[in-house]
Amino acid sequence: MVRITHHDGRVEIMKLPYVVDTQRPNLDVAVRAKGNGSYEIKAKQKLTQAEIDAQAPNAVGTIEEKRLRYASVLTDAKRVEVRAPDGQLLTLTHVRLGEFVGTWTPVGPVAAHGKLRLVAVDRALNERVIEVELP
Amino acid sequence: MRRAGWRAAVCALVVVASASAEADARADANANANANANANANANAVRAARTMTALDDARACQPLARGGFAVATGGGLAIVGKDGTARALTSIDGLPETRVHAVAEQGKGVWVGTEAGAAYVSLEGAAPRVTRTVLDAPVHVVFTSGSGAIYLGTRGAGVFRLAGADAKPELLRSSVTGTHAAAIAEKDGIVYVAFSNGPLARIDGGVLKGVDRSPTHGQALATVGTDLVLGDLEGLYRVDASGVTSIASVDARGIAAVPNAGGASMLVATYGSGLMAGNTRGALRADPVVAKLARSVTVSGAARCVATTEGVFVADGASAFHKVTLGGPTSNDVTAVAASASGTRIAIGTFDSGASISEGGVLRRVHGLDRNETISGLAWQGDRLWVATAHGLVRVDGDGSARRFTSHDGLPNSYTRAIHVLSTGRVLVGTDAGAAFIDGERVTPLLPFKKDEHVPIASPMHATWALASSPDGTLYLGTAAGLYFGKDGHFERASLASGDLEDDWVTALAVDGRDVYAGTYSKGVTQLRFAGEKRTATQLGGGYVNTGGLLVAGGKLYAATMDQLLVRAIGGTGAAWQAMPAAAPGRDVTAIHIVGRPEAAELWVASRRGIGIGAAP
Repeated sequence: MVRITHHDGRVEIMKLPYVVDTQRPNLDVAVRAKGNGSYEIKAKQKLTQAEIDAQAPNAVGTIEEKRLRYASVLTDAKRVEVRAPDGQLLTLTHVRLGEFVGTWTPVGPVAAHGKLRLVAVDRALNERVIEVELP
Repeated sequence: MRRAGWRAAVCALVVVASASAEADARADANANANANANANANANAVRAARTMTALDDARACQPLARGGFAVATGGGLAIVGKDGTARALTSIDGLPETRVHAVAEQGKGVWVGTEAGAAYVSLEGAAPRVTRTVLDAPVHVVFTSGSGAIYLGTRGAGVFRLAGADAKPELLRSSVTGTHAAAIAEKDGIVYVAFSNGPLARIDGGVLKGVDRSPTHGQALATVGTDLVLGDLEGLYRVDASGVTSIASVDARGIAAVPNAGGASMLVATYGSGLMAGNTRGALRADPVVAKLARSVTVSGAARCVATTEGVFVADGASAFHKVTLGGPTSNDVTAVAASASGTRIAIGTFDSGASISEGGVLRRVHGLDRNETISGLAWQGDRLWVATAHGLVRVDGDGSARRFTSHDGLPNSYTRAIHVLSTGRVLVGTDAGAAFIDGERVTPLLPFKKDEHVPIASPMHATWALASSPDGTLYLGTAAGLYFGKDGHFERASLASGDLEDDWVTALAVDGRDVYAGTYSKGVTQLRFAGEKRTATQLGGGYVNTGGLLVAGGKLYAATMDQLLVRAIGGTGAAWQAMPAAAPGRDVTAIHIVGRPEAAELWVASRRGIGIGAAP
């Protein structure tokens, strides 16, 4: 709440809303085996209903419409790292807003049902850890 | 969360004797000091023997029938005697919380409203003592009615009535939208409540009912002569049978009727114009003495007091107001503490009010800093003080001269967060874009750095919140992207992705031999044991660790967290954290520091409600 006293003495009360981002980034992850034994990893931030509700409570429309409308404002993942089953650490390349891509080339044979561990971090330093099974 | 030949203003003119030490002696007898009793039950408990809080952060005041004043402050309840001496009570003395919003006299004591409930403080005996606590919600208003009932107005939990001093609090039913009680007054036997988020209400048949057409940002309320006067964010209003009439456009935070000065005379505490005097039907005039940001005014008989952001001002009868300086740090929101090698000078940094130095029991403001400067870190280098601020690194030399280093001088970023004085004499400073060395007037980034260019994750040039080093010259940098360690320009990284940390945001570091303790923003402490090229991580837990909030001393690890000071034995995975609620006057512990030579060392525990000082481990 802000009290503004104008030159003419008129008093105006204004609300200045603000949002504290406590939502961890949510990712859609796709892993594809390439012909040369490498794996392509794509991670795309997906805005959740809760994130949109928290920052744009008056938004109307379907969730997909809201995602499209607010993507440029609310998509804030800034780093995605991957720990591969062979211990390698990769940092995915930020290719466009909310989208990250990288390639993992295993240093040895890959065990069945091996898992990638992804760490996503947003601008507010909220973190999310996701495990994805290899195809 | 920063100071030789100090050219400084003396902040503390009146010595404030904390009631804590006396409370220690009679802790067993004081059945109400639950926190004290709990702490004493544990022989290893860290307990403050005295406190240092900003008592000039006055929020309300009450002239006392026996003479003197009770002052509600952000640093506890101050009882000021007729001779001007003061005693302070904080949460360590049994108050529900150290931040006191309201005070009203009843019987031989005072009711106080705190951030976590209300308490009755008896003023009988040699020292004030808490004899009763009620509620756990923030109590912003305390009102004693003509009938002897006590009303407690909360922020968010309703308005409570106690039929008498010993009665149970009863929640009043309400039909109004307001939930944040701001003031209570009584007129013609009817009790009115002003809400900061709703219209004025009156208690009718035990129910709060709205007053038509009243403003909705209430802050103050009083009966003045035959009028009810409401102070609202929008202005000052007279409320009577004909409705609500605007009197003035001031930001009124407190109103008090002045008896024997004409039926409608009043004093108005305003936020911006200070104390104003007038009546309900004429112009107001400003008092020339009282500070401009006044929060509350109280008149009792001939005694008057005004609580302001700069302290309490008092007057007797028609005499002019004068300030009673209660002293303390520049703010209760303490972010950093650092003692000189001898322990004779202790620098105290705050979140929004610059820094001060405690020396010989006197606090002096550090010059070279803005009065409202945000202090993130402090370090002494001989008689030179380094201060990390939101607007650069400030070096205060022994002669009191100050030099500010910013990005224009080569710092990666002007927002500085941590300082580490190396054994080589170099100074390492952590900024929002990486660390840098300071050698004399020369600033050298830790690694080559170009502003606004993407920094790869392998580089330690990220926002740096904590710094440490080991005797072999290895540097440890706690950043928002993990812990970096190395020397001679080569660094490795321990992170969430590498499996070492549970949170990449490293806020605090402590080095103990080959062990490095990394405190994180939200996932407690990680112990990293280094053996050659290998390292082993052990997660110790411990919650939200504040910046610079780790200390190893006496075989124990201390963590300053958002939820109290935590202590555990080092070594052994089975050790558990123990909370130390009586270590500091505030729950959110922001810094911990050992002060003085070993034979007489003290443990200073800083919080967002001031500092607790006890024996060092």
